[in-house]
Amino acid sequence: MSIATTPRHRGPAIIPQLIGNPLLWLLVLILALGLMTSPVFLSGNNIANVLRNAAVVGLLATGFSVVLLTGRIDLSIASVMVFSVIAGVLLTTEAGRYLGYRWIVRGNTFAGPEALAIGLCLASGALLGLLNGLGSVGLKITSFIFTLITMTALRGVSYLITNGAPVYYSEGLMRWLGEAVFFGLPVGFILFLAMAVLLHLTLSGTVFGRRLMAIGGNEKAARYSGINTGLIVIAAFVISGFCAALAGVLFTARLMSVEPALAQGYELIAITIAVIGGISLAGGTGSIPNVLLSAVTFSAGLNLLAIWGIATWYQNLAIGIALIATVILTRVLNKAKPS
Amino acid sequence: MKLTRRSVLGSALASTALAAIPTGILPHLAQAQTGGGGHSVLNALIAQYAAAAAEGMKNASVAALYDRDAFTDYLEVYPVADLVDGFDWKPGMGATFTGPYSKLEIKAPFTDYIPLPEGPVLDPAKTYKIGFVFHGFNHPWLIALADTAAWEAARHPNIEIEVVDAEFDDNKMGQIIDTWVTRQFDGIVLWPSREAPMGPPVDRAIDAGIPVVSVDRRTSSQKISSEVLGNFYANGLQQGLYLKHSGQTGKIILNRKDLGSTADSIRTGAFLQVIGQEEGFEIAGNYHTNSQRSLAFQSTVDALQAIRDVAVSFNTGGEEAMGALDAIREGNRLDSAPDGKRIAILANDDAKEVLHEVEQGNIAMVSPYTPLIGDIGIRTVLLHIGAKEGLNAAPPRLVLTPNLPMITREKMTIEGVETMTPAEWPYAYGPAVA
Amino acid sequence: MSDIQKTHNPAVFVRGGSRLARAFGSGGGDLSRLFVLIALLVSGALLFPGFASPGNAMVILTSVAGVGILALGMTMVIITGEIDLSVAGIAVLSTVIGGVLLPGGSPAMVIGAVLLTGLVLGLINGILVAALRLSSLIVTLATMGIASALANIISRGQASYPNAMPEFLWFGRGAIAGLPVPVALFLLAAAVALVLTGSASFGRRLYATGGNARAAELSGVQTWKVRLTVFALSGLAAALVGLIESARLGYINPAGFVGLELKVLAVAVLGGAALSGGVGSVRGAVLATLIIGCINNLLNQAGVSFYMQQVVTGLVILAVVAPGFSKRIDVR
Repeated sequence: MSIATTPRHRGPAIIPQLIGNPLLWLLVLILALGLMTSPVFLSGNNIANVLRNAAVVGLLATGFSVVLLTGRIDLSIASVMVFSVIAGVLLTTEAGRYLGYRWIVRGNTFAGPEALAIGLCLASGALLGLLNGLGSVGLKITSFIFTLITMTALRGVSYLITNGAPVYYSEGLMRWLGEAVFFGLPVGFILFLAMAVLLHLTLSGTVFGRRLMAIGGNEKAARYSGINTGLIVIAAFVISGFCAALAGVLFTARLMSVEPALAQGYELIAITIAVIGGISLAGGTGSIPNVLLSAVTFSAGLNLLAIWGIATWYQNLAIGIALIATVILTRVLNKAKPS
Repeated sequence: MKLTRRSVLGSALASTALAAIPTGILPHLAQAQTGGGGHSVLNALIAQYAAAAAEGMKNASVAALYDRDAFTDYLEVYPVADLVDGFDWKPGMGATFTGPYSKLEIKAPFTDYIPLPEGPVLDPAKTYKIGFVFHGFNHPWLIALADTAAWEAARHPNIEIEVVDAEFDDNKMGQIIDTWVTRQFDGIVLWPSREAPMGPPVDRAIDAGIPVVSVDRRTSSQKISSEVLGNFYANGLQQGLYLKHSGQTGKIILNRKDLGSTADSIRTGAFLQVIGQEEGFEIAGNYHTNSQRSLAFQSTVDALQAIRDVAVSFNTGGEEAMGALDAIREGNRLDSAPDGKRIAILANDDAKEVLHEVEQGNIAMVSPYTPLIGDIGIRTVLLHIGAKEGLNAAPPRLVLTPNLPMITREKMTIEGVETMTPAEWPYAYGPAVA
Repeated sequence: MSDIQKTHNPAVFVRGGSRLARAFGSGGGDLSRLFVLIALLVSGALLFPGFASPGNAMVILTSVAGVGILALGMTMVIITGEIDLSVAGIAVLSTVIGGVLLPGGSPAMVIGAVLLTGLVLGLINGILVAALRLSSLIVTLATMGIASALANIISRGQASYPNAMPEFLWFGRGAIAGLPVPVALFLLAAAVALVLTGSASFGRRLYATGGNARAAELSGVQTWKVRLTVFALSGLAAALVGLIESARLGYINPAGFVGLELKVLAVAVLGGAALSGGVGSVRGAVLATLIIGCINNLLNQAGVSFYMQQVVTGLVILAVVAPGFSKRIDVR
């Protein structure tokens, strides 16, 4: 089996494909319902909020999807998200102490160079992704188990190094990341969009990307074709960790603080978005642009339910039903398609 | 001792309030008399033990824990002051009604505090939309909180209230508040699980001109309209006072709430401030069981195995105390304290379950931490809206709730605090035990 | 050796490893599990005087019995190549339904309703996975969310207290032949699981389904029936454990059992169940349960913080699981 016949990364570049995309119709439906039932749903403020939320869960889901495309899973994204931000801030503070600066003021406010902290945060995310990749490939432990372990361990470590207490951000870059809007789009969403485009182009247009999709399609065949599957899978995990860290930066920028208790259970939200976005758990099928669409639809849908005043329990019920409906629908549509 | 922004502000407010010096910021407190027996007695004791702790603790084991978890940072910024308008609270006050969510009969103690008469409020021609967001629609304490808020809103026909559960996701609570800002609600009341993440969304609401009031726990927002505060400090303090008074000494195992939360630090810190001055206590087990009965149960079961002569089980919540009690009972260790005495289980949260056990003599004492303060939050936010519309004066920034006396099986007086018996206490929340 | 016979004996799947290790099956891991357990018992006895007492043994067994029963069910699901993430949701919904029937209900009705609900929910999982051929990860993730939401909605968030029904409480606080009921039920579940997995009919089909489903189908094994059965059993186990834990606490709580599925999964994996299917054993699951029980007990006795416990547990799982897996080269 050659690479030429392995699944290619699909994108929404073709109009017919767009029209046939059920997720897009769902989004249109949500927007229409929102417009009809609420005067504020399509206001600039609300759209900005929806997009900000979509950016955070979307980045998590996007990195997660890259790993899923190789047939693996990364359960640690929420813990990585929080831990990498804490690591970024604390490492910067330590560096500052070494250089003679006091970058934690008033007991728990970070007043050091945010760019450095963000850089160290992203690096930590990538490194943790590397750890996950090495564990899943090098030690050959199922990625499910290994990332389950890193998920719980990182959460625990986050508490231990902060003693449970928050670190506040001071005014500056973080505030800007959380609040700034360009042409109606929040900065966070623009970053998410950029990341999604970058990954899409990588997966569909580069050798690396094609090989990654090949691994998802048929790993044994890919390996026998001479592809270094181990390295590529590790790279996928690094991407996932990096995306989680970036999501963490945006998440905490909105809260102007970071603490270990945040984002519990967000990996489940990421799985939901990825699955609804058409990423197959078996690997090799799915597209990043669709995940982006899924994230925006998810965020808009929940926003509409909140505006309608639907109680949280019923919202959760709706999410569960939507998930089941998606997989059943996918199965039915797949059966209907010629093989 | 770390100097934080909040400590400076907090100490300034506290000392201003205690000194009752008229200020432009807190006109209501300026007119306060030192009202209400129980409240000021407990405040005085709080000040006394805080001062003693600042000088140092006699008990090395307690001092070690006290320093390690940096309790002073949290305690010194926690407001201790008089009640608004010199309110004098006595047990027995408050309205009785059926909780809209729990469907249980509730007597809420503070319905006369910062009162609002029933019927249309503010501008009768307008309908006001109030948002009440909290966590835990399946936690008995929190359901009771929502009950009182919804009850207060129902008393006024021109109020529409939306009650939302954010399921302990701080980001979600922020999103809910943002959505209310977009929908231009008139007022927001929140029960924040954690302080830090709630600052920015509250600030955004305030910047949009919407009054915001927090109840029980606090936010990190400096702009918030008002904070309705529970009596965490008096809680932990009374648990310590009782223990000291009982004469029972020995090894203590603690079941605490999550690390870094106000609920944990103020109660535990206050408790340690009292017993830290006594010899004869030793911290033998320290667990964070995060309001979960099963976790407290498990940690107590294991601690009992490790420590054969546990004398005291200190719990920062009703769920924790029940878990600890069940564990002690399952292990048949109820009377396994030194000299065959009963293990002293100290609890807070006046749930009916807990009071029942106090009556039976299984739990030694409970320091009430009533959830029935949601109505105060609603009234406070309504008054802020009224102030905005020029209809009344604004309530103060800090709205303390009356310190509540502890509940013990037999009535006694401990350092000037007259305790109540379970039968005398009408405010217990939650479902009655079979 | 035919494909079916190969898959019946899990030891054959192991490439490499000593003959002794292979004799223990499941990738030789059972030996390392036994060593870890013995090491824990010895160090526990040395560090804490009361550790090795029969009293503490009962304490450990009682606290870990619930997780153990679930791990047995989970192991069987994993052997078929699937996963069940909904156990926590099933446990809470089953007990809540029991709680709703408490006022005025007879013990038989309440307990029956709890177990029946678990069975039905498990069957729903099984039908979606086996008949519709949907991914069990997603299905059980969705059913978990739906079940917890329903538990909250049906109970209106209110807890209930079964204190007036001694038959209910017996499941958590009673005793059979000197053993606490949870422990007795765990032993019973282990015995049942041992018989099922070892039986020439069901056991063979179980491992065949997970090892190589297509080959099994060709040999006449109705894999959908096998999957349906294990999910039904897993659901039943979840309801039973819900019953046990609620009885122990005397408290039926719609907010309970959070995070249970991850704990059970960790124990099942520690016990040698491989997510690729076809591998796993009751013996491994029981050993893993005891290991986790000892670790938690030791850490609590040592006063180690809840957060550090998470780190330690993760490391222990890693230590046990990693060597065993290095021999497998086609695990994803």
